[in-house]
Amino acid sequence: MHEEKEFIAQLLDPKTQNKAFQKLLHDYQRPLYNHIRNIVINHDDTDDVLQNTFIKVFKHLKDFKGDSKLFSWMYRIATNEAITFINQKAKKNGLTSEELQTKIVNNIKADDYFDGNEIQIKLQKAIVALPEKQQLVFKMKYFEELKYEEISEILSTSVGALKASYHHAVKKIEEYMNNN
Amino acid sequence: MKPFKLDNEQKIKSGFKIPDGYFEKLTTEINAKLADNEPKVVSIFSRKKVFYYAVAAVLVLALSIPLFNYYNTTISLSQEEVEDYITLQSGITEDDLVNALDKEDIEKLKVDLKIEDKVLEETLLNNTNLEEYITD
Repeated sequence: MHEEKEFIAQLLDPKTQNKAFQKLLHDYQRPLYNHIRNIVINHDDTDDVLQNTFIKVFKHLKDFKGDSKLFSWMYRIATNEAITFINQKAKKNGLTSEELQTKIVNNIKADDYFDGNEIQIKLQKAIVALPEKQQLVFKMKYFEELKYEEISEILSTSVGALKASYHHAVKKIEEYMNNN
Repeated sequence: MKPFKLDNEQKIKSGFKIPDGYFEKLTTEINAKLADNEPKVVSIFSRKKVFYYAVAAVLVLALSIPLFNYYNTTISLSQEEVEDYITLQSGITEDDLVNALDKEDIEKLKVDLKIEDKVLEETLLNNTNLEEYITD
């Protein structure tokens, strides 16, 4: 915690800011990429959202109160950016965000940056059929392997509720996988 | 066939690929965007600029002196001259004046003359042309 405070101080000090921000970029670009990609699915969209996320993080560093961890604060920004992006894209296409997600997943085979096999495609289809919150919890727990405590801080939801969400999600996914 | 159980299966990966060299490119792009967003401090007091602005200001002032003198000739007119002009020179008719006045103007024009009854009587007695007063 002390180390993090020191790191935040470096991020805010104009003399050390550049070096500290490069470290932040280096440490977080891959996990945040994976997090955003799991939500928006397409690589180019992920790239847009990830860039916006880092720019937002940089601009709002001075507003970061330190009440939560830098890690969860950044994940929260990334999650909000990704969900907002999906909603806006869906609106532009005259679809609901669920319809858009389903459309993207149904065409996932044609995506140049997806090389999943049949079972991976089936899993993506099973996930997209879940309610939005369950999708998010499942992806963060299963693919990103985040701890419930971490997810709890990012999504501001109790660990108990997250466990219930994940449990429901797994049940529905297994049902889908067995019936399709 | 055994029913599908997520925990019994080998971990299924998302299947997403990342283009080669993507993260190197990303760092460059983000840094470039942040550099573009930084407000540039431009001194408005750079010596060269101040000199040019000063020269321009002097020139504008110098050129405007003759113009100022030319246009700045205010003619003062007395009340009498204005009245004379309106009654004698202009083409304004009485009707025009009446139309130009509204009720409020007319109220303002009313002068409360305190004429004593005696004076009024004398005037009426001495003046043979009573019709003028009656009709007005």
